[in-house]
Amino acid sequence: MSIKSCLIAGATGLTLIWGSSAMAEDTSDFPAGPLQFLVAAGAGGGTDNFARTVKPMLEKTLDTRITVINLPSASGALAHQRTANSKADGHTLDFASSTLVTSLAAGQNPTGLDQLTPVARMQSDVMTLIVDPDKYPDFAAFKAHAEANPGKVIIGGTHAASPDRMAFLSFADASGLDMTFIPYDEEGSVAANVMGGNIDGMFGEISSVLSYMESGEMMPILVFAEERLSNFPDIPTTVENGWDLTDGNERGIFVNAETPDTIVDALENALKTVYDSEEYQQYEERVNLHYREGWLGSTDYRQKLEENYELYKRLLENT
Amino acid sequence: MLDSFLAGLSVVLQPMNLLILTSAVFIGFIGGALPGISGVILVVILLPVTYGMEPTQAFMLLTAIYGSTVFSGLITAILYRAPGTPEAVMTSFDGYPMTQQGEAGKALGIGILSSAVGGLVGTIALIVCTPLLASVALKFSSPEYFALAILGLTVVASLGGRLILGLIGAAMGLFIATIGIDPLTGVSRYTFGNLNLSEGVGLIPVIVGLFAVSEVMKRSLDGEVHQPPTRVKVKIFDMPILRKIGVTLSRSSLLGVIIGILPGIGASTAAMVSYSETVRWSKHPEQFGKGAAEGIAAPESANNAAAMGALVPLFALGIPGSGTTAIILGAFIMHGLQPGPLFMMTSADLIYAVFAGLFIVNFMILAFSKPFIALFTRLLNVPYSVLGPIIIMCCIVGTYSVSNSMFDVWLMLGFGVLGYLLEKIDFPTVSIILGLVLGPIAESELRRTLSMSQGDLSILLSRPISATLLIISVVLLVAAIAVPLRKRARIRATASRS
Amino acid sequence: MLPAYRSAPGHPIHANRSVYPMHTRLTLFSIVVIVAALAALVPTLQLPGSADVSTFIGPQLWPLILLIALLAFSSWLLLDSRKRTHQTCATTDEAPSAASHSLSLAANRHWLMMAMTIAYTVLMQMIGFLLATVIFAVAISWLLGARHWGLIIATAVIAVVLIQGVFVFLLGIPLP
Repeated sequence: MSIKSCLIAGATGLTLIWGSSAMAEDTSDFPAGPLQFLVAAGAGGGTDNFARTVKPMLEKTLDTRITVINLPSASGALAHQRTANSKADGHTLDFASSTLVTSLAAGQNPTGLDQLTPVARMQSDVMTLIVDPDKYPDFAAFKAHAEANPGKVIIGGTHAASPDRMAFLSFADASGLDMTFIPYDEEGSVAANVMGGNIDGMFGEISSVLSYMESGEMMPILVFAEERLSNFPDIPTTVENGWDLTDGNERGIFVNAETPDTIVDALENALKTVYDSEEYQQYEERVNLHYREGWLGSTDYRQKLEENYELYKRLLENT
Repeated sequence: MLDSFLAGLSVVLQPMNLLILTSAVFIGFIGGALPGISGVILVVILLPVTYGMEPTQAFMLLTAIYGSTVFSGLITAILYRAPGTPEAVMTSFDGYPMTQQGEAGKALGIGILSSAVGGLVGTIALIVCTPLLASVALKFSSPEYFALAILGLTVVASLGGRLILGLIGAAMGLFIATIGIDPLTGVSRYTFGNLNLSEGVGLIPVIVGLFAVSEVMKRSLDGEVHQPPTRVKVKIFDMPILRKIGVTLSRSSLLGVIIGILPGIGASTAAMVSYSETVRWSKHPEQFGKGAAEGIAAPESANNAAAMGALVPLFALGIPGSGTTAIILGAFIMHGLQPGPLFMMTSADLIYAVFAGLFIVNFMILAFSKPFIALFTRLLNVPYSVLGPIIIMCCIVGTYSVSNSMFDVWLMLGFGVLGYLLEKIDFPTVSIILGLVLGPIAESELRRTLSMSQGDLSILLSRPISATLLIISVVLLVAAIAVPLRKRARIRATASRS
Repeated sequence: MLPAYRSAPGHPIHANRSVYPMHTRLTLFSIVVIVAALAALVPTLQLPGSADVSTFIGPQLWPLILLIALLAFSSWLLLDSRKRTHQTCATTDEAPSAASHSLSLAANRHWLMMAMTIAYTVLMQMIGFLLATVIFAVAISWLLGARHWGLIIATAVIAVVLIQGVFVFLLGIPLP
């Protein structure tokens, strides 16, 4: 080969290399391929619905294909672990609920906020105390009964290291009431026990209890919020009772902590577009998640998560 | 109610909906027959597909798939001892020996009929008594669940084989069930830091391994036995057999419905409990496990009835009665529907269309099963050198697809070896399954019961339902152990006298 | 006096071809169970007891009871099997067969099959599902006695088509 062709070949090669490395850092090319949603929950549940609803919307916004994989094992710990070990290019997204932090505080989930970066929170559900209205017509009645019968009042919830249990622990801690908590495997079992009169109450999200409210089988008597919900002005709040308890179950999206900031920002913006869309807002209304503003950006969400983590750790240590 | 049902029927009988039902039945047939793939997975896979459909059609599809997978698991269970679904494990017990004795057609026929009858009973109960059954379901709480699990466990005494082996098997199964994160305290037990074990040892890897894989191992040792080509004739409506199994069918279907309506307990438990009850009530218990007709009729009618029963709490209370129905509940929520106490009234058209669909599905099972099974039975004549590898590969892929986990595949292989070795000592491997299925229920509910009663065990006897169940369990267990002991003592006495 | 072993359900009585009689196998089995149960006791005793947790029975009690039961049952079985081993019987229902433990292919086919399956599972993760499946199908068919090349090829083809077709197209399940 002549020297001229060598030089041309060499130059072309170098150009290609330089060009492709430049492209790799150019986030206007994000996403470079299909995305993967890892759902830290089983199919059919709230988090799964959330992921599958966002999927087509994000596909449109980012002009890419998305596959959804459910990894419910260990309260979602497997999903968190896989995301933390995935390529830090923002193509693997972890859809999780507050269970990430609760199981982290309980030691079941080894993957924490040092390995995962929160991109955004999109749902904030309102936690409520739910009882059989025939037994306790309102919160005052419940409180009176609990004070008169220490240790005899039984509250149910799902799983031992969950938002339900955190709600119970923080409520018991703040109110000083002596109650017992029984964890069940599914929300259905808890509801059945409340309706059957076998336990005194349960902690649950307001979104899941609405149909029971209409039929009168179950009723929330206390909401964990700063102000009374506009649709339910009769239900007192924790705050007006003097307890600063406003946490509910939240759902958001996480990526590998090593993902470059530019990509995280790109994702955050894309998700905000989805959140603000008419379609998404309608979905929230349909599943009754619109009682509280869901959106929190990456920095704010991280801060909230860290606060929650400290709180849950403290509560669990006290048991 | 009758007019609502007829209205639903007219919706179902439209060509588009019939097409959907038929495809659902076929998909269910295929999925259920493949080891490892069961109703749960199929419903999960098809969920996204149903999002774009009309609610009525979507739920007809999902429930129809559910009903038909519970049926078709028996096909591979009977023919190859590779139960396609957990609900069909008990069916392989008497079904496979029948195949080995050349009576595969008879076994399949009984299975089809039992499934259809059980499904019909369940569907009728669903249509007619949903509110009533739902209130019964609410009376069941932790003490009752514990008592029910104990009742189920006592069957180990009547399973046949040596009692001591059955007890060891049940204890092993119960112990394996404790592996994982303790649901009540969150403490990890025997997981050794492996996240794959934190949900415990899956039921599917164990079943597929213990039954299907170990059988393939055994058959591969047997080598090429040149059997004359068998033609399997499947006869569904066989009057003499019908007379024999009639009582079993009615009893098991009813039992299946009752167990199905209880939240958290599904068709596989129903199959086990009804099998054990049938053995208990039978006049010739020693025939079970060797090809007794009732041994197929009982579990198959119970599991289909229970599958329908699991929809009762879903529609009446918004509480799923089994794993698959829990996913269907999620689908409802995605469509913006909230199953709950008012659901029956606000969405009556949808619900009755679904009911009518299920009703029709049972008949479709009767109609379409024969040609579908013909496919499988023809495979019986294929030499095992071709069949064996295909079975193994289906097992591997099927088990993998449950949770996208290679770990499950390894578990399956391990249990396959274990199953093969256990057969060498005539070990009743089904007792392990019994312990594995009932263990979590028994332990968790006992602990919840004590939490409810502040440590007072007498709550189990002060509540009428749990007391009844426990007393029955004790009586039956004592009888199962004492009667053969007394018989043997009498034999020994006469032997020594002569 | 014959040892009365009822045949376990699901197995028509056929002469066991191995040399080891039943009572020896049971002895072996019971020893294995005892050892395993004792081994499992170690992590069990490290679990928190009832006093440490919020529920009335801690995570330790139930497994502990089960392990003790297992030890009791298997000890009984061990003693019973030893008793029967010492009872010499004129006739047994197990004829030691001519095929003793040989290292032949025929006698160990099932172990080879399992070994190949394990290799297949590992291979699958390394070189991909399709290729591994083809290799496996060919190997196993040969092991199980297929000698006609057409049959072996057919097996491989059917297997791949079936699995791809049913699992991927019809059911949409991702393959390893």
